[in-house]
Amino acid sequence: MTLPDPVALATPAFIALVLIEMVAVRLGARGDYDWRDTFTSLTMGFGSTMAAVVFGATIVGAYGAAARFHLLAIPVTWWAGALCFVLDDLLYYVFHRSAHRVRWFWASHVIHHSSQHYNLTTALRQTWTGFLSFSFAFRLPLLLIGFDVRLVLFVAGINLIYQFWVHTEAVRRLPARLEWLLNTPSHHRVHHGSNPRYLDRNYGGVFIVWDRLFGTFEAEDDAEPVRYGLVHNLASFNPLVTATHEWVAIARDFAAARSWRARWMAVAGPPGWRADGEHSTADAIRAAWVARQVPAE
Amino acid sequence: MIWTSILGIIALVGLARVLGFAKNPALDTDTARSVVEDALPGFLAATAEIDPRSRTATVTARDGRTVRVVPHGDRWVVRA
Repeated sequence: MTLPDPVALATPAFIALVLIEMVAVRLGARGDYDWRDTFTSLTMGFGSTMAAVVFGATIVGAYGAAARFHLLAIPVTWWAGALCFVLDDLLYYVFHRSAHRVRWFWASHVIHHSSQHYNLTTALRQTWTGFLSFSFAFRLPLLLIGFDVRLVLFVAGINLIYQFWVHTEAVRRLPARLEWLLNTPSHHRVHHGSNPRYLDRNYGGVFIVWDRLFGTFEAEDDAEPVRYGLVHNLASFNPLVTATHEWVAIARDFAAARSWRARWMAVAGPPGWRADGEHSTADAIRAAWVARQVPAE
Repeated sequence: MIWTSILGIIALVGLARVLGFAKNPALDTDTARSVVEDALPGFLAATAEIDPRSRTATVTARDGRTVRVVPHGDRWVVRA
């Protein structure tokens, strides 16, 4: 059985939806664009596709090698597809949480968060260096369980397609039951926020229930508009700078470190960790924010 | 495929410009203060000096720290 490449099939729809959103915003729908930001987002998406062409064969080869050690022989059927889709989304949650908590992984994922805008082109602002961050490795358990490589690649594509449409301000809330179950535009706006309340929350790809289950869920509060972007925003639209700035920062911090612990933390610690103790990690920022919420006695 | 993608990027970026998504907003003291206080939790702005072209600002905190606010497209970034 041959399974199609869902992302390739969906690409014309991505472009059409960007066009529709852009015109809708111009006509008064909620949201915003900036042509320079749009350039960076689309160029990062293009570069990410090129990187996938370069490294794709290696990744598929690694998946094929891992599949040889499968525990079960799961056929390519609709029920296997459904099960694989749910487990893939759980592994996506693990990957995504790691991508925010470990600097080596963050160095690739930060690209997706480097826009101060939030629109459908932000969904296309993807890394060029995912291979370097071993992001593909998070799906290996599916192959070791026994899911077919073709099925794993297919559900990964479906997961990616689902996440495209949540990158919009134009959709406010879905019906409550869907908001409980699924990652929605509202939940994902929170994920892209740099407000202390919203930092490092809502990692779910398709299902938000993982965040509810593992204690990382935060609802969007209409009284606190989301400030999109990074804690320390990037001051460049240059795609090369966007793609590499955190890797450069890691190298700089590694070279400046005076102990092996500091070197390790520069690479594998949480983003914002500093050797001098003046941390600006998500946990530190959130803790300081929580402390400021307590009224002085 | 590569040239189609590049042409698609040029077309969408051009459309964004044509539709007017090319603002270069002016900076005022209230905006400069709030941009810095949002970006640097715990930073309490005391003064904000705006440059004559209203594009950058120097903001000083009550504890003496000084940072700059510079434009980034239609948004702002804070630099030490």
